[in-house]
Amino acid sequence: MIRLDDVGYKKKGKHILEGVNAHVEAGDSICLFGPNGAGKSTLLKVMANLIKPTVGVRHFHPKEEKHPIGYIPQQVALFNNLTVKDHLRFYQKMTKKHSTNYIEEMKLKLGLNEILSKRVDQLSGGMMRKVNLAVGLLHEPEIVFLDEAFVGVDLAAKHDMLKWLNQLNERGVTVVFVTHDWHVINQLAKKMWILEDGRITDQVKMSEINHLSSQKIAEGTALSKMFALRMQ
Amino acid sequence: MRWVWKSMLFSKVTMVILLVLPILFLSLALPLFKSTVEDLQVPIMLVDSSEQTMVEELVDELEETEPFSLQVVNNLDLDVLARGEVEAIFEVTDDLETRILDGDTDELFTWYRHENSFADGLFKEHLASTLMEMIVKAESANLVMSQTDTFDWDEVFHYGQRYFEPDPIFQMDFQSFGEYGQEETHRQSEQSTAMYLLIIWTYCWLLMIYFTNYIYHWRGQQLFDRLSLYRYGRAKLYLYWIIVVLVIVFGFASVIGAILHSIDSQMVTWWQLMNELGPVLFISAVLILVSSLICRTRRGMLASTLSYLLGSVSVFWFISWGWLADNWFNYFFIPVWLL
Ligand SMILES: Nc1ncnc2c1ncn2[C@@H]1O[C@H](COP(=O)(O)OP(=O)(O)O)[C@@H](O)[C@H]1O
Ligand SMILES: [Mg+2]
Repeated sequence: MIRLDDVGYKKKGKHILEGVNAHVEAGDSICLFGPNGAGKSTLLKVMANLIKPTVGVRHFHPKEEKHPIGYIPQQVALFNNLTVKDHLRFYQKMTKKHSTNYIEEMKLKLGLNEILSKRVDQLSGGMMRKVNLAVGLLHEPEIVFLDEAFVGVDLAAKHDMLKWLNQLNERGVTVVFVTHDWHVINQLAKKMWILEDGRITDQVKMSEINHLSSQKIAEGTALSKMFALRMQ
Repeated sequence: MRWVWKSMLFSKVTMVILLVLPILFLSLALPLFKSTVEDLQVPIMLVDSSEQTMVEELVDELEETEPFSLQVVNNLDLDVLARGEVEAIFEVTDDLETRILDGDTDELFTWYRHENSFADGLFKEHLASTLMEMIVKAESANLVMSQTDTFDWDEVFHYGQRYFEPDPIFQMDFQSFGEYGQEETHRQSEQSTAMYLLIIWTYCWLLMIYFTNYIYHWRGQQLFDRLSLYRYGRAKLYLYWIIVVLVIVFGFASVIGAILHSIDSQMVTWWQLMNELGPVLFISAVLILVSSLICRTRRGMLASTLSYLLGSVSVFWFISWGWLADNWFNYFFIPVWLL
């Protein structure tokens, strides 16, 4: 669906991404993993076509216009003093493309119905993240990019969000996400790309991860760092 | 649109800035405004014990000039002057008309003033020049009557009036007669209208700078990132922003305009305000938006817009004080368009 050929991104003389070759297939669910500043957010934006790579090419196959993209930014991108209902309506207007059945289902699954008339700045962090997710998914995207969408989310909310994303993935929606949360990776990821200093150092299937040689971990690859991060 | 409107307006800080500041602004600006109007009104009393028609005509002429408030009475009461209710009292001779007709212009008036009287000298000049007109007209009527008898005296006298009306050709004459007359006050009011427009513009400019907060906030929140996925999403939000800002700023300007107009109907009409300020405000909003698009940091935007404000206000004053020659690049500062 998306192919990156030797993609690089340079800003203010600094290489944020370098020589990234990767492929996202329809129906995939990929976790981008790596330390802070590795370039995960930047890679996600390149894939979502929010920014153009300075080197290399991003291919989208077949036609981009027919496959709406969803992007859930790292920040909670909501209007502080609007209600949840206002937000849903605003994005319905903005995207024009929407099916009410799908929206009703999402509202139900994410438990938004109880907070519809609440203002966003009165919501808890977890609730805000739910709304942030919902408005990004409102136009039924076929591929979704989530940038640390689970930060500060309580377990119950996380459960709802993961369940809904898994359902979408089962229906064929491609999910690419950045997270440090091992629980989320376990529940959602089928593949994992390990990023370090703007390069993809490893691409692994989650089904293989358990069979990964202990040798590799001992050698100190990115994955060993990953486990270190998890334990902190 | 509706939601952007709601989200921009319904915050405490915005409310304070929109409601409290204009009230503060008005309460500071209005006394200033009123006092300048009142300063121009010099109270003068005219005593005419025999109620002559000539005096009535004279008063009609005099009252066309703004800065004096004229009071005509029958009896001389010097206490009014002592109490400071009027700046001066002018008592008319009982035979004004015959003396003017005879061309005898000595001591037509008795001028009573107080030691604190200040601006009454202006009125004396004004009275003299108005009287001069009448005398000249009378003289010319006398002259015409001595040459021919086909005209009525009154007819010729009023015919002479024509030469003092502000027809374009005779305007120079008129100005030299009315040294403190209409031309002067007219220019003065134009000047202060421009000044008020500048003050309103300054407030609007600051208001618009305040509203760029939303743009930076939205950008920091990655709202624009999200919207750029949708067709014209980013452009739409910028468009909504500028519409909301224009509505607020125009609303503010028309309220101020209405208030100024209700205080002095000659000062600035609502239409004049919108005509002169409207295009300037519109372009200002576009400029502010462009500067917030160019400047990625809030600080950079503040620096550029505030120095533009400073530059504009300085150039505006320099031009109106005559320190700065007319130059095309002055128009780079849009408030200069108000002059
Ligand atoms: N707009 C930018 N200008 C300059 N440097 C940037 C910009 N955005 C990100 N960076 C730098 O690029 C690196 C990668 O950033 P990012 O993609 O956000 O990493 P991650 O999401 O993995 O933490 C960081 O070192 C960051 O400082
Ligand atoms: Mg990031």
